Amino acid sequence: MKNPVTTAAGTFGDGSQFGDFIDVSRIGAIIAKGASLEPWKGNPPHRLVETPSGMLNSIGLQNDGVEGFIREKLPRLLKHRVPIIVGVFDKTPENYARIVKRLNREKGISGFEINLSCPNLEKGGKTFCDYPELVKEVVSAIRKATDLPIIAKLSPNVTDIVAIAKSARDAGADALSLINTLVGMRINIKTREPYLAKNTGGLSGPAIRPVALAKVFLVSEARLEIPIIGMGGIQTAEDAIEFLLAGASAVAIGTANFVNPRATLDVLEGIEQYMRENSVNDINDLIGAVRAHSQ
Amino acid sequence: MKHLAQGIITRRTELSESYFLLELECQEIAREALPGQFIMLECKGETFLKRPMGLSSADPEKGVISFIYHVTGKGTRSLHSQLIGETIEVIGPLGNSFWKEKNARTIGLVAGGTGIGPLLMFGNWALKNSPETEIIGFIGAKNAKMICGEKEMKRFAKEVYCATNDGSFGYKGFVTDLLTEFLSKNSLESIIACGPTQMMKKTAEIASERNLQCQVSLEEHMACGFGACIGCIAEIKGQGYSMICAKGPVFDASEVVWKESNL
Repeated sequence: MKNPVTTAAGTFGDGSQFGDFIDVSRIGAIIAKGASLEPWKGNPPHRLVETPSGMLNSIGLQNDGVEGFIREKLPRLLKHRVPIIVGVFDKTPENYARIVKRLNREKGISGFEINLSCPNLEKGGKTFCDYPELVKEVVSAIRKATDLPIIAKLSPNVTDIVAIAKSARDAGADALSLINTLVGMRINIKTREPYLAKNTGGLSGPAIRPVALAKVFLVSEARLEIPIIGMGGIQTAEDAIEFLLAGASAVAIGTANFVNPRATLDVLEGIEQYMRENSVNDINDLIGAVRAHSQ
Repeated sequence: MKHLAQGIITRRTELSESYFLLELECQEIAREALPGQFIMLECKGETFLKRPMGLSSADPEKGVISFIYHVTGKGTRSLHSQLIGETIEVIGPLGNSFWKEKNARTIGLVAGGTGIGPLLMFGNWALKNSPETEIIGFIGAKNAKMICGEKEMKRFAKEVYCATNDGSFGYKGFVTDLLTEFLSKNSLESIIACGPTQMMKKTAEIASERNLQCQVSLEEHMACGFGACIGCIAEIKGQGYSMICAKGPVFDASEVVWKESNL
């Protein structure tokens, strides 16, 4: 990555949607939503609803499957001439590995981000990222399938995120994405129905930023010697700098892309300006530089 | 090309009870927008997401666009409190546009609520670009006070018929019942509907029964408006879920899979 600003999976399309607003080639990397093995239709409407300082979504990981991704989206992503990290998600560890093996045969991919927030069909629908042993199973399967860097994306909806992070690292993950969405809900009091067709959904946006920052800080403090990509409600350079200070080596812009399609470059330019104004020559001097109070 | 632009509020006109037309000076969007396209509009206050608004006009010479809003929730209340001269961030123009069917000389425009906006833009476009077109307007509302855009539609339409649920103005009943009655004695060659989903669904049925071409402008909750969030979907025959913002908002009504979840 030539700079520390990337995109959160599922918020940046194939990049072409942003071509009218920004020079996409200036972004540090694109983490693309990617694919499951077979096409997934996604959830019925309503798929999203606004919340205080954020939104809930239940898109249902709609995608055209790995073959469709390779045919349609990957060529468009590669045109931007930035590192492309491809998201991978499915319902069994074997399928995760099969997707990665298939993508290994394509040129130009810089790495994989493993979305672990899917239900495991073989384990009674338990979500992978909720259990260290399930995370280990998926990450190990993918580790065997590729030599490219793999990033494990972890959920904040767990009691001990450090244990999950350790498990991912021990299974061979090269980096961590922190955090995925939080589970949330809204109910329409006129109809008494939940706004989302799936009743609950993933909360994102500035509402989750303090949660995300704390998770980054906690994992960073645990000194696992694994780089962290911080994400969760980042809208401005100030937000991003907080994540760097808390221990993230890079940041991803997610929901903010929807509201401000220039958000990635606004953040990048803001970080550069902060560095100039504060005489920071190397961004590494900011990473983990929080002056935490001793406990 | 889509723009992320600053619009300056230049005028607010009350069209009927709690329905307002807002004009924004916004050169970039005014130059390029077509009838049926929409903008995503910042609403300030407590809102986080921008709101989709169907354009009701775009004047490239004056650099002014307009849209109609109905004060219903947090977003529109906040929008309503903004003053003339203030700026709002807008993204647009977005989505596809209405199309004029070849050989369709008599077109029925069926409007409900703020759906009148895009139809006004289409009607004014047709008046200028296709003067042989004959437009018949149908406007529905709850009551007389809420009939919106009748005067504006009369500027280009040969006839405008109104329907109110309580019968306080025009036909008593739904605008789609009025359309059915009209079609029992007269003919249309094409229909364009914009308004509540239930109204568009019914209009689509009426058109289908008579083999009339029909376009509808669909609505859904949207986060981005330009194809990145995949939140605003409609089921389209043979295509699964399609993004309303990128593939629509205007669809051929016969291609839409209408169901309760659309409502």
